[in-house]
Amino acid sequence: MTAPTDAARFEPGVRGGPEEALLWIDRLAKTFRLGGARGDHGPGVIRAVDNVSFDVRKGETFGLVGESGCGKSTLARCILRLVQPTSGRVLLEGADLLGLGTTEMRRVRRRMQIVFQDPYASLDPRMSARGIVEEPLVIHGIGDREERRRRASEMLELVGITPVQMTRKPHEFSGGQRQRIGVARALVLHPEVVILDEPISALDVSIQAQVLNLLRRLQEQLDLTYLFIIHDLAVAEYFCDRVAVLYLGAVVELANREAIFRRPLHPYTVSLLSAVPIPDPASERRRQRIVLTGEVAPVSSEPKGCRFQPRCPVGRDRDVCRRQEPPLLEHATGQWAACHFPGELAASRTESETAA
Amino acid sequence: MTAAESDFVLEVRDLETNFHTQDGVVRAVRKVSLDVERGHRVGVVGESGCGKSAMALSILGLIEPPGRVAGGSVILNGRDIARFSDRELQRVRGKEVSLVFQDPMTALDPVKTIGAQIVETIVRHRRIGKRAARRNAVELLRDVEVPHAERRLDDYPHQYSGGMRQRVLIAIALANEPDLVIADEPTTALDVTTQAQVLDVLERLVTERHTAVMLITHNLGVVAEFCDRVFVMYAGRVVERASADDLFARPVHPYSEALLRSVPRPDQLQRGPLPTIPGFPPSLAHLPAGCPFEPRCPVGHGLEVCGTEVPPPVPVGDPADPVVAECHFAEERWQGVTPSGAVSEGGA
Repeated sequence: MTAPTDAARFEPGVRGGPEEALLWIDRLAKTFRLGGARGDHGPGVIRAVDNVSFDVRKGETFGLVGESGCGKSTLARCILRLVQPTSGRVLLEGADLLGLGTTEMRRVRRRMQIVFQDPYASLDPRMSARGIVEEPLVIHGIGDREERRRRASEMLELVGITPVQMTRKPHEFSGGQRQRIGVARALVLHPEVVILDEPISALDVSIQAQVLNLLRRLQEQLDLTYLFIIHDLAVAEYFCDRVAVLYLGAVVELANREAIFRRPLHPYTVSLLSAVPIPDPASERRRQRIVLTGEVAPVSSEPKGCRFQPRCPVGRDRDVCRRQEPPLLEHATGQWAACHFPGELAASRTESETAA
Repeated sequence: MTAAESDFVLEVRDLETNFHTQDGVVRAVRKVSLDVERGHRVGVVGESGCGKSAMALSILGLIEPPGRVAGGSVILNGRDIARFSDRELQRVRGKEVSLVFQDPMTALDPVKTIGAQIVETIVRHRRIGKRAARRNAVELLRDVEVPHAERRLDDYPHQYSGGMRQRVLIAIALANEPDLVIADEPTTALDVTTQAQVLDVLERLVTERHTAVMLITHNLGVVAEFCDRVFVMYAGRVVERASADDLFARPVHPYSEALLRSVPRPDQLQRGPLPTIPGFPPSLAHLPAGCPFEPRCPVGHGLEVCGTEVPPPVPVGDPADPVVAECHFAEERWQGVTPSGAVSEGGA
């Protein structure tokens, strides 16, 4: 395989430019230094987010999927600068956020908000529901007391909290209702981009459906763009327009949902999808699972070869995979994969299915 | 002990567990009966607060105040362990029945090595030397596919990953070859690939050792993958019991159907709003007069019989292996006479 040209690398700017993307993440990286020089950790650096690039278009839901430790939450925090990235750019409508000072960054945060996973830990237990939703308005100095009260009440009503409930404290609400309050708090500033960090993972299944329906309705009503961090692949498939699959801090595949879930190219995507149990025993019996062996080891030193190679059913014994890191290339229209042998695993599975 | 040769490792009859709170008596488990056949894999599904974990703890005699097992029997290998003293229970737990908890970090002692914790479990129930117990522990770790078992025996829990810790818990649960393992959400904290590996380990052990497993979970995909038989719990009752095939193909209780429909299927590209269940489960301290699901039920809501009469368990289908549902319309729903529940679409 020849070395790719730079133009073929994932550069949203090449196709339409960052002005088309509402949010453009450009070669974002975050490395953590490990304390001390203990030999058992190798060189003292963990590459938690490793040159990640993608664009989020206005009005879409862009999903970030991957297993725990793949760096998806660190990535979200880097985008909001709750964690300072090591290098790269975060462009909101073309303006780089990483160079901004505190006051300017505060203004940007009005346009970009986050909903956290845990509706129990992320709400102040001493405040009323309305107080919680009013707080961002206070912090950003918006309106007077009357105005803030009105806006908070409106937003709470929009997420399905009734006026009688608004004076109640978080502990008086169920998990699903608390997450609605978390959503109202994120939306009260009328942001354009909302980062949803596993917003339903702590909820019961029937409540998950309610919150997903709510998020979709609000997206349409308020013209929102979502960056959705989710480890549940069935939910990602249901909810996202485009998806990036992260493995050990890097994007290994990026495409629209149909391509990712129906025609995956990267062996990690194929393996991950094959592990999702289907709530139907008949389909379950047909499902052929790829069992990944080996443990996930964080990428520490300069990566040599493909980061998935030690566990990869395709590249485990291949020299090129061991030695050369595959670049993220567009292998089908709009479908990017970082693999020397894209589609090979999926093809062999289709063959064995038809043979069976 | 002839009773031990019965087909059932566990027979629970009219089990009742109450929690005495300021709000009144919370009836967490309300006269639940269920059987587990030897070597079988049963699933218990339901949402938070439906009583599934309280039931598991009640079976093992682990309910603590303000909770209390108020009635019923728990026949394990032919003996009613609900009547056992704490000392007698300790001899049974870990040996004939054991529990795998959801959270492997809190279930393991952080200041003891993994090996020490496994050995502890082994010597509690067997006359065996320390060295032999240690050899046994290595074998157990190998059985649950922990790589480099011998070396990892002297590691502490924090040196294990989440999936590996869950395997250790399974190893501990299996240390004395129990006849029944009760696993309470054993894969909930895990990633899908790790979940798949843990289910594989569990599956292999069940097949090889003929251990029965009761898997308590809210993940319907895991149930479809792992279980032969399913109990659906709602408001402290088993509202439907069926083979996994029947339940997923032809749910009889409207609650079962609504639950199945509220999860996106990974094998279908859906887009419209997900069907949801309106309202909330009833307070277990103040239960409604009729069917506990009536206020939320797309079939029975507003009907007099559903609002006033508690539905009895109705067997439908194959008399030799019936589906049993606590619904006034069970027979009609099995026959397909009443339309399947018009679960409200998109009621956010």
